[in-house]
Amino acid sequence: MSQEYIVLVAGPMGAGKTTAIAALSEIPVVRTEARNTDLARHSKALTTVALDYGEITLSGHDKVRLYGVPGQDRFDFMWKILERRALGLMLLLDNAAPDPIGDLDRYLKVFADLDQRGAMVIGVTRTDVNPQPDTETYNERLRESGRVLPVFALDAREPRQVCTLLGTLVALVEARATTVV
Amino acid sequence: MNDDPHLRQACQQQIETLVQQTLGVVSASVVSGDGFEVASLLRDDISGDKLAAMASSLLALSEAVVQELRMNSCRNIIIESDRGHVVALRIPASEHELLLCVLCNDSASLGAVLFAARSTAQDIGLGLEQRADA
Repeated sequence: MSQEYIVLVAGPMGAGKTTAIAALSEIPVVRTEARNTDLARHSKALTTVALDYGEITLSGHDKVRLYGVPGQDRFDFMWKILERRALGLMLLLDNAAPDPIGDLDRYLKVFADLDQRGAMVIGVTRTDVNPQPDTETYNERLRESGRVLPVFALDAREPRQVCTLLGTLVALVEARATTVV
Repeated sequence: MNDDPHLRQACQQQIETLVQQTLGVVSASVVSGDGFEVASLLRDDISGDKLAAMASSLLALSEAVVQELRMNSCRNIIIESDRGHVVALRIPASEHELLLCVLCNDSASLGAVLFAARSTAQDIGLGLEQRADA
């Protein structure tokens, strides 16, 4: 029987959320981008100010609705609004950012609710630009905080890689659904 | 752009005029497209930063809806609440991405507020064009 899932894609500015959703989506992605005036924070030209919306049908005919949130803190009201709908979280972290491990800590805390009732996977982007921290460092940090979560290094532009991350998340969501009575 | 004091001052003056001259308008704000406050005149209990972010989200989302429904372009958004209205629209200024957000209470005529908001937005836009040409 085919299922429908809602997945949240979150993470700091520039991690590749909009890119990842575009790589996955079968429909033209609904975007809400504005010209970035916070060039000190990130040099990119455009930034998401409300949400990205995309859809993908997985091989088992399961449909996934993807919601991407803006990266900046000042849009955290959007995180809260969209978190409620989601069954799983794809957290994307930018390995070339000043403090990716700090970002990990912050997002685990922010999305603690979703983490508890749903599933989470972590995708680390731009490891070609900056190979450190490596996956093991992320895993160690997660272990320290009592968590075991899949961590993948990936290129957010590559559909197959993002799909692998999504597939892992969906599998975790399904596993949760069967264990929780 | 956010560091342009002349821009801020020009917007501030326009907002003050709008609030003073339009019955029922209690607060107004000029905001960048990506949610930063440029100028504002706000009631004490309003967080300008939060309002700026929310206004930019609302407008962008509304425009996405209008585009999806193929209804051409979004002219403005209007939120009707128990205690008045919130109006937000884009400022026509090619160089900058700016929005105007206006809050009014029950004593306001919505039509008058829309008219005043559009005029203010147009005036700000014209002022920016003139400065750009100068």
